[in-house]
Amino acid sequence: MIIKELHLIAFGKFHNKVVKFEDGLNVIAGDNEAGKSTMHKFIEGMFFGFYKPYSKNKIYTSDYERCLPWSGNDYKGAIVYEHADRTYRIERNFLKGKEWVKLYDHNTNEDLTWSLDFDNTAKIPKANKHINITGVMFRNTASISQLGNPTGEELSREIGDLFVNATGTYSAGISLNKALDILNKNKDSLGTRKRSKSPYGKDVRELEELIIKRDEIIAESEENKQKCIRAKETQAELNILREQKDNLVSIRDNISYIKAINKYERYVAADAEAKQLKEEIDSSPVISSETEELFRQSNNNIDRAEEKIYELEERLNSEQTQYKAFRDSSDILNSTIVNYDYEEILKDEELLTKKTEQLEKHRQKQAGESANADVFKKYKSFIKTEKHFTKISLALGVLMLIASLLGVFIDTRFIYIAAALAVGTFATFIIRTNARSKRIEIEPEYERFDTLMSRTTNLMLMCELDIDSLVKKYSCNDARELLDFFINAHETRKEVERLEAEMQKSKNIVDSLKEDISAQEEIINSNLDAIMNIYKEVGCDGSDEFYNLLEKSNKRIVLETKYNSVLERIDEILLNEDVDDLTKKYETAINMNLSGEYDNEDDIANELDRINEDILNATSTSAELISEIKRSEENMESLNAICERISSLEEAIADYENELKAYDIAINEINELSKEIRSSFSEEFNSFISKTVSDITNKKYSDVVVTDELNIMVMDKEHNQLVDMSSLSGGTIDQLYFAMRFAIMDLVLSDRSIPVFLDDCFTQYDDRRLRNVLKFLYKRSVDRQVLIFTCRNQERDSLVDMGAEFNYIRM
Amino acid sequence: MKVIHASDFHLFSGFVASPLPADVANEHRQRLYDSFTNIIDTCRKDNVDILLISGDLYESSYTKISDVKRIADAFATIPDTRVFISPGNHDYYDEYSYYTLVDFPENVHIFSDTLEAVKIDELNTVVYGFGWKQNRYAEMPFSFVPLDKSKINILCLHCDAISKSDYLSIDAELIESLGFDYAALGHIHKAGQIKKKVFYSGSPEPLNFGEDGNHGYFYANIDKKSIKVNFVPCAECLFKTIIIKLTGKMDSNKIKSMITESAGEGMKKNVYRVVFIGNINPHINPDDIITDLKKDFYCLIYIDKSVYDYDIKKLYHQNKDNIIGKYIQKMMKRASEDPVMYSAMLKGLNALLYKYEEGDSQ
Repeated sequence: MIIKELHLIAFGKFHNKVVKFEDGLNVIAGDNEAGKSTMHKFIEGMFFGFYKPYSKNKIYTSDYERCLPWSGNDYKGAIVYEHADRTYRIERNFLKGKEWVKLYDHNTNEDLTWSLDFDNTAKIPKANKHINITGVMFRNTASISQLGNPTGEELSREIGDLFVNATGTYSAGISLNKALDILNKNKDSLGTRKRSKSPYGKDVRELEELIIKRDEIIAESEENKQKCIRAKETQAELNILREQKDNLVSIRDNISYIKAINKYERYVAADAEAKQLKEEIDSSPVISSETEELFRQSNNNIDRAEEKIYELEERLNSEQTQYKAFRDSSDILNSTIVNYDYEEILKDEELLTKKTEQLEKHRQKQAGESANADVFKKYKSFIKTEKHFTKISLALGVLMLIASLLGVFIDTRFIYIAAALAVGTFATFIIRTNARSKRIEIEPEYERFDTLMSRTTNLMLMCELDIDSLVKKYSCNDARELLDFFINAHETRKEVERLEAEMQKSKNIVDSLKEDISAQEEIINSNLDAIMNIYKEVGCDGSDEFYNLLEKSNKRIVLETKYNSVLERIDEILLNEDVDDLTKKYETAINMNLSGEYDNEDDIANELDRINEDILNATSTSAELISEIKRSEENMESLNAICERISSLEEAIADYENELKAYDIAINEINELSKEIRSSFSEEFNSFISKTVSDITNKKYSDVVVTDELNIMVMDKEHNQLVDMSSLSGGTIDQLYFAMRFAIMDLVLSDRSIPVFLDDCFTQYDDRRLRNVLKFLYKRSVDRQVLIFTCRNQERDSLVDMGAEFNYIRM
Repeated sequence: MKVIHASDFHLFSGFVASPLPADVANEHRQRLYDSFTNIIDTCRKDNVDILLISGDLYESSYTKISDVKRIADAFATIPDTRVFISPGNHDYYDEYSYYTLVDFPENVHIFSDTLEAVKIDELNTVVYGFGWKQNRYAEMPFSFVPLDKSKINILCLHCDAISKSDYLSIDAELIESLGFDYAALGHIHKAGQIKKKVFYSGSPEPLNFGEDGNHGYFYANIDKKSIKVNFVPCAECLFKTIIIKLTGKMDSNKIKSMITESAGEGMKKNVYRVVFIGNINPHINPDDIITDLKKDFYCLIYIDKSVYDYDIKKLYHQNKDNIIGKYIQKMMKRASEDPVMYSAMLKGLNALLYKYEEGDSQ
């Protein structure tokens, strides 16, 4: 078949547009919005209409809406084509409700509509008689469009689908993968238990929540029962409390009577007490406090005076004793010196002193001469020496004589001795003479000294004699003693004088004491008088009696105080109430037979308060319980609805589960099926594809292998390895895709020479690839009309370059 | 003397086994309560001597204390009727039961969990009863005592005299042989006289779609010589099930008329449940049918057990050589036996055919 003309009378954006095609290659170029797709759709629509296939009812595809003319009321067109040496024309009105289709012989205008098959569903003739494929097949084979940068995966799927379909009678063009998609999508839209936004999940969630709620309500209902029991108990308590309260209230109301009883009783008691006190008071004496005071004072005074007297007398005694002692001492002392006249003693002492002084003077003088004592000594020694040596010399002389004599007469040896002796005698005589001369020298000094000494000595002697006589006078042993005696005498005298002075003092004191004593005695007397007066006044004889009366008097005062306080108390009790009124009230109250337990209003008030509080608490507890019960009972209102909803949810969920199961089964089955089919790919098919691919890619990729998983592998000759198609560049993938589509189409359509529509397939291609594919197409366009829709100029340019013949249409 | 025997009111319960629309459920609960008050009224009007309630008076898990108070108050309006209640498994009488918590008037005697004999001297009658304290009795919790045959002996008991179960199974023969003049049993919702003097009063209104027997209570005249027992049906609203077997050829109107014919006169009174079985034309939606009919009915609900009528065979022939055909072939056998399988097959088919349904443009 060759399509010659398109008449887009009212179709999409077109209005009475005519397009002419030729056999072989046609390039229709136009910008993106130029309407290429619309034209493509037009061709499809003209042959097949826009009806959903495989539907039992006439249902329009979405293309119907898409290609609705932009303006006007028409929706129609015509297409002219050649087939089997005849030119035909199809006219079609697309408009819903007004649709029709007609087939004409284009040259003769013969109406050939009768020869068309009838579509029972669409209720319209089928216009695909000559093209001899279904719309579905057409879309999958004769019409190839740009993949639009698919991923390798998408591509695999596409190709896979095509493979799958290509093995059957190819009227189905079914996409297993798409089916799986749909199933999965549907399954997905049901949701899962966990996905709470999905219908299934939502119901599951709702069910869970309702179950919880239901259980809560039921639990609450159980709790309620407990509360009911408590409420009952509280109510019983309340009743008891109310009874108690009523009792108290009646007591309180009777209180005034009870009070009267109390009051009266208290009054009577107080009154009796008062009377008794009065009696006692009246029988008590009165001793004024002044009197008492006076009595006491007087007694005190007396006591004090007596004390004082005692004291004074003691002092007197001691003083007298002292006086006596003094006197005795004085007497003793006096006795020691009684023999001597003190005056004389004084004189003697003076004398002694004088003498002693003189003696001393002399002595001193002597001592002063002591220096000269040397002289004395010397003299004495000279004398002595003189004398001594005189003697010696005499002696020696004698001896000498003797010796000489002897010598002369007896022995001559004695001369020697005599000589010695003579020497000696001479020596000694010298010494004597020496001494003498010295003596004589100092003799005057000595004489003077001596005289002085002897004179003073005499004086001293005389003094000593005087002193001695004094000593003897006083019967002492020596001057010392006498001195002591004198000293003693002085002392004694002094002492005596002192003692006498003391004695005098004592005497004075004694006198004054005596005076004091008598003064005190005076006091005593006067106080005694006072006391006596008091006794007389009070009428008693002695202090004991007085004290007695005094006690009684004091007691009376206490009694009076007490009496007054009782009177006060009576006033307080009565509080200005008349006694007669009170008595009457009492009598009435007694007759009422009330108990006096709470006679205190405050007690009752407190007790009432307590009970009221208890009542309040119990009431509020009860009210709380009741309202809680009520509230949760309100919750129970919904229990029925909840349970019923639970029931229906459970059903729904069971349904979901069945649905999901069914989906799973379907998915599983289709997968299995898919595998089965895939496993029956034939070698031939693969090699056929490979050949086309090799052609288009100019032998770059020569072998195509589709694996079981629908992965498409190509043999890269350059590197001599199988490469997964998805790992190639986008442009290569595009190319391979195109090649495969074309191959499949070839395979499927086999000898049916149906035009091929290529819609923007090569936008990804670089110049080299483009050239290759165009070359390929050019070759094939011998067998098949090729319509290339493009928005670029490259196709045209490339074809021009290679010198191909083609029909160019610019939109 | 006049005796009324009723039981299994299940007052205030939900209808979980057969879910109803909320308003219908509420109304039905009210109907049950009305049947209760009607019986009370009858007692008052007719000076009924004894009212026997053999269990399941109220549904304890759904009931509020205020509800039970209403019941007690209702009893208080018939002070001259002696009311005997033998609690059953739905209103068992333990320490937390409303029978404990609510004060019932003097004329009501509630049996507890020992067999008790209550003498009514002025009627020369002894009423024996046992109240459940738990919701199961796998074994007999008491034993019967010999009866004083000079008196009228009445038994009021919630038990299962029909089959062996955990619900206090008793042999009906045994009851008969003991010589009760009237055995008022409860638990079975269908009224019936199972032995000469052994009766199940059933529930006064149906409680779910499984109960399509008689619903009411027994009104008996009992004296030592004879008993005359009348069944008083008092159900205001029955639960009826309509089964509609569909074929692919039936259209909506046909189906609708089938339903209304089946329902007959009770359409405005009863609760109807339609069960669709068979094959339904895929273009017919049961939901729409029921919705259309709803306005003519008091209450109409449905269960859809039908399956789509795809002409599977035709589809198979048309697609013998391709995937669809293969798929049908695979699933067909199992699908005819298992509805889930059938559903799976349809889903698969729908998905496989989907592409064309939506007209994916290529």
